[in-house]
Amino acid sequence: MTANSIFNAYIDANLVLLLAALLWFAARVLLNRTSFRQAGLMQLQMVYAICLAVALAPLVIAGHAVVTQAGLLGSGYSPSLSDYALAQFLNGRFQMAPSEFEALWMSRTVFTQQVTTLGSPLGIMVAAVLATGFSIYAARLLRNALKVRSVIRGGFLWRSLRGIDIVLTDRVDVPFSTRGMGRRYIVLPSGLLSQADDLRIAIAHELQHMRQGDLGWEIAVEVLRPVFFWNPGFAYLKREIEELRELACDQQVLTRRRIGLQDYCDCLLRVCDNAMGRNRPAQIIVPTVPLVRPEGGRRAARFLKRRVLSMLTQAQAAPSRLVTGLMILPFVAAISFGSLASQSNSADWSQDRLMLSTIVNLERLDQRTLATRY
Amino acid sequence: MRQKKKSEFLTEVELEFMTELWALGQGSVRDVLARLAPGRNLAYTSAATILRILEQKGFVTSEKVNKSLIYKPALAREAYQSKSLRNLSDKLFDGTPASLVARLVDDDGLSEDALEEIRALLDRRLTDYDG
Repeated sequence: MTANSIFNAYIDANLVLLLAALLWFAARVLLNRTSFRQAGLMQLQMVYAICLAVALAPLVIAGHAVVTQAGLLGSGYSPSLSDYALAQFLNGRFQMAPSEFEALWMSRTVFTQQVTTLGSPLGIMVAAVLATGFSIYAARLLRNALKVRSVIRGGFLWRSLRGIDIVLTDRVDVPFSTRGMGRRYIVLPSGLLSQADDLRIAIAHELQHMRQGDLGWEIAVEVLRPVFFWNPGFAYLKREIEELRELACDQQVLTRRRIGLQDYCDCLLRVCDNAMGRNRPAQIIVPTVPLVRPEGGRRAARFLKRRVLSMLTQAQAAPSRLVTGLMILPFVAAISFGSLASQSNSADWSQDRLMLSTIVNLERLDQRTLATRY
Repeated sequence: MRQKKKSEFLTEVELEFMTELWALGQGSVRDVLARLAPGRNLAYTSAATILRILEQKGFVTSEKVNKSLIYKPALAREAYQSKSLRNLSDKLFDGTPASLVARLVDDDGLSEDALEEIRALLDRRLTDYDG
């Protein structure tokens, strides 16, 4: 595997992520006009399915390559947008000078080469930005992971049941959950011991996150963050996951009806107030799933308000698994197709590519002949 | 109980428990619970956990007497007061205790009696030092 093919795969992944974010954005706009507006768990499962489809895109591409090589698909068929554009050009569907079209058509290949061989100032700059961003985000992730580990190891192991350790510590203000290789952890501020209701709510909330599988997703997203730190599609999906998992969790905890709505909302506000009141120099945020995000700013305040409003307006029952599955299917299909379409020009010299090259050479020859004549 | 790196300072609830233990000299979970304000409404298990955390942090020691654990402060109240003041002085007053005292004296909340008491303390300390 060459640097060129790795960087190509990286560009493909970024394009698919952007496509997934666009699809989800459109879906959210549509869902907000339907009765599924408040279906937090369904929406969360849809985002997770979209992310899973993005993660499995390389398998779809590999599968397509195997099927094509086995001759199960027509040799003339290629879902690549790049190959499609070339076919359209050769069929005269749009007018452009052949050399200009070739330059445009080859731009991604040229860009990839510039970055992987550091062959131009632009290539050097892009490689430097990617390497610096990766290093900063990876170092931050490592530092936070070590901090979380230190909090867990330094805390007081209060309860241990079914692979879950409940740890008390005075080093955090906001309850959170996280996971290691084998065990899962709920970390609680030791001060909660004197507030029995808040303690119960915090544990119920974090256990629900575990049921939803949020811990694994949080870690996966945070691990991928250094790689896709610049991608707005990744940032958007990450934010959506963070918000939807809290909305879904709140709804599910309240649906169990062991905790009153008033108590639950009061607990959220109290924990948030408590966390914001302290001046902790480095509040741990990642890679954990906290009860509330102890961040300042309008966004955090707006989201807390949205959580409370969502709980107050929660009415209809959650959609069934079948409905959720049916909602997910079109996204998975679109992302799979998009992952095939976003691939760069095929490495082999296809008939169309040979044709383009011939036309460009003829154009150059023509220009040279004209220049010699006059 | 696994011993961890000892934490230097007490949280609000832990300080509440230590205050009762300092007053009692030593006591069981029930002894400490009985001294808390009636409206405190703290479960026995929570109180027991707080005392076990204090033990893990090294602020108390425990001994089994007649099937129940008796907790004893491992650190005197005065020692903790000094440690907290030193920390406050280092963090908020740039490590100069004089600034801390100056702030206290400047504070309008100090009565004449309190100031007299501080003066007497200082006089006594200076006499000891000269002696």
